[in-house]
Amino acid sequence: MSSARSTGVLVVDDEEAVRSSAAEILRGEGYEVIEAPDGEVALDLLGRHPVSVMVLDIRMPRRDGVSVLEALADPPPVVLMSAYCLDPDTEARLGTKVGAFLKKPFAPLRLIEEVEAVAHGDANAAQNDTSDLHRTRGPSASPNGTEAK
Amino acid sequence: MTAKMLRASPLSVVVCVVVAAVAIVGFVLTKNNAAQQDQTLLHGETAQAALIGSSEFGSVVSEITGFIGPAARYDPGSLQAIASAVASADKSAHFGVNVFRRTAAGFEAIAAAGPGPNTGELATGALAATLSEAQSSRASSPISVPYVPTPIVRSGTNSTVGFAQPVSSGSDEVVYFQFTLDPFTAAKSLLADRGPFGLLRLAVYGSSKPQSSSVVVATDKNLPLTGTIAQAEFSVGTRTWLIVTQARSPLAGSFAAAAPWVILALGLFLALLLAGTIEILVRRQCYANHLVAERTEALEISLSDLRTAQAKLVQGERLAALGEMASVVGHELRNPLTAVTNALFLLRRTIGDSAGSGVEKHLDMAERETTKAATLAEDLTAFVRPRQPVMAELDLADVLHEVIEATPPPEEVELVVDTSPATIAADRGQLAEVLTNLVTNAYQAVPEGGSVRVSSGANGAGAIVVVQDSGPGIDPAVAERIFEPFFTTKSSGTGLGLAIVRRLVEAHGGEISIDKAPEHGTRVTVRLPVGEADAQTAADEANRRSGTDRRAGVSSRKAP
Repeated sequence: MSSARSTGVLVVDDEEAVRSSAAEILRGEGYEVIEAPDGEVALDLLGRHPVSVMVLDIRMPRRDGVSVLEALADPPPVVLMSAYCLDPDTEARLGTKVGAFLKKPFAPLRLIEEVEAVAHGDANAAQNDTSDLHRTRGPSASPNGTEAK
Repeated sequence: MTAKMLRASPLSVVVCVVVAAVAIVGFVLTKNNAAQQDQTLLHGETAQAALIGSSEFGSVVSEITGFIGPAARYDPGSLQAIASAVASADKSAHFGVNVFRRTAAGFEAIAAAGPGPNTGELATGALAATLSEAQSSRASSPISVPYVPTPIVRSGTNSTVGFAQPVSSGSDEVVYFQFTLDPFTAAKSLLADRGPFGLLRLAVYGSSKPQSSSVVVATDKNLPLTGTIAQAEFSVGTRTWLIVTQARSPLAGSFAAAAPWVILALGLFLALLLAGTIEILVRRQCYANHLVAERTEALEISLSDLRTAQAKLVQGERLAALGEMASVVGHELRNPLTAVTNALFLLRRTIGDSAGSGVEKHLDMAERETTKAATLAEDLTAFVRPRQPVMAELDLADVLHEVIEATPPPEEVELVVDTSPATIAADRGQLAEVLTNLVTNAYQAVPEGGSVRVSSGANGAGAIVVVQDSGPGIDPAVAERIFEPFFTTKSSGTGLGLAIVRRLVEAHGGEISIDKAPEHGTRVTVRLPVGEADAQTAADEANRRSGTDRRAGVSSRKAP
């Protein structure tokens, strides 16, 4: 499981607790993780440290996640996350730039799965996760339940 | 309706009757007045006619006596010739004349012509009495000579009347003459249209009583005259005769006669006109009143509608404000929850299998409570998030079976499912959410075990779902509030489930109600209209049915 985890992941979130814990989880899976507290810093970091996967929050001060993706012509595979739903307009505008979408709060295992999936270019899985937006109670209602055990 | 329209108002009927009554009274009064006037005029005419008759007879008698009398006194020899001449003047030979002289033996005819005693004969019987009366009568004035008419003698259609008059007052010579005439013919020739006679029908009787045996002159063959008549007595010599008259046409004039009828006709016409006018006015007022009542009612209805709408608006605004807050809270909870979830994950990974049972217990509790908090956050945002249903044609029974498959009953609950096909257009995801919520609630209503009955089918132009449990049932007071957000009867619920369900059902144009089931337990009824599928989603639904929809992939992925 950890043999292929030398890839770099950039975690971007203005919430320090969310950002650092997510980074910690991914480090535990063997990824090299760098962190950015907002979009501006993320763009700056990406210029200097190319990564294989970007875990990106949408709502952030200075520059938000959507704006980051729009600024990049060829962004790395992205796992988008937000406390809000991804509205259909934004989803359509970003198109294939989004590999997966996670609605907060999400099961840490799913974060690991999605990062792994988009890193390996598993578009199908990414598509499926984007469609999870339409779920209401089911999986979101038990984000860290028995799956974590 | 027709009967009501035909019925006249009491007011117009009363006015009609009153005016008609006044017209009739006016008619009667004027008619009486006209009759009275006629009667007065008739009396006047009759008196005049009587006067004329009296003087006519007097002058005729005086003329004849005045012509014959001197001859009888001075030249009795010529008397016969004169009598014959006078009698022959009447071609009908109904005229006779005699001159009598009083002798010791009685009244002896000294000259005669026409019917009557011959010369030298003595007068007998009634004639002798008449002659005697005439001879002994005292004149009322020195210049007039009294005369005495005989009683009328009727023979066939003819009447005979005689007159006896002394040549001079107290003279021994008495002239007697008699006429025999047909009263009807005599009326034509004698009366002609002179004076009042042109206006009258009349009968002259040779007595003071209107006896047919004593009629002298009559304009009508049918006697006695009937109807409005007048009579007057008049003197003919020493006797009293009677004239009975009747007007040929109203004496007061044709207008006076027509006036009562004109009044009656005008009055009745006025009565109808007034009644008609009043009727129209009354009906107009009635119509206006009706209109006012109708408008008032409409106004009251719109006012009540307005109040309802206002109440709804206020309620809506309250809910909107509540939703706003719920949304903010829901979203604000998400980041901390994510961090806590991640931290718990890291904690479990760090501790690994070395954790003692005490730590494990606390970790489990933290995870469980975080899940609850996440559910609350989800419910809060779900309650607020406006989700336009994406309508597609589907079978309600299909969705219900899918839901029950995904949400099987706990072991202690006996589930009875009774569905019949009902095709409607609805948002499949939202419909499933509604049904999941209702079914789960029903399971939770019978924690000690019991039965849940779910039935669905077509209902009129739409569909109906009924979920009924065998639990303790619902208090009606609670039933009213159960769909309000944050209202819950459960110890662990957020109170948003049914609020969300109602919002979704209403977004479909349907309605939801909850009540105590007739037997026992609670019954929730959802009614959905047929709806209209969106063009886009109709194709999607077709794909889903053929199994190529990506959502099918999701559920298979969820399964493990």
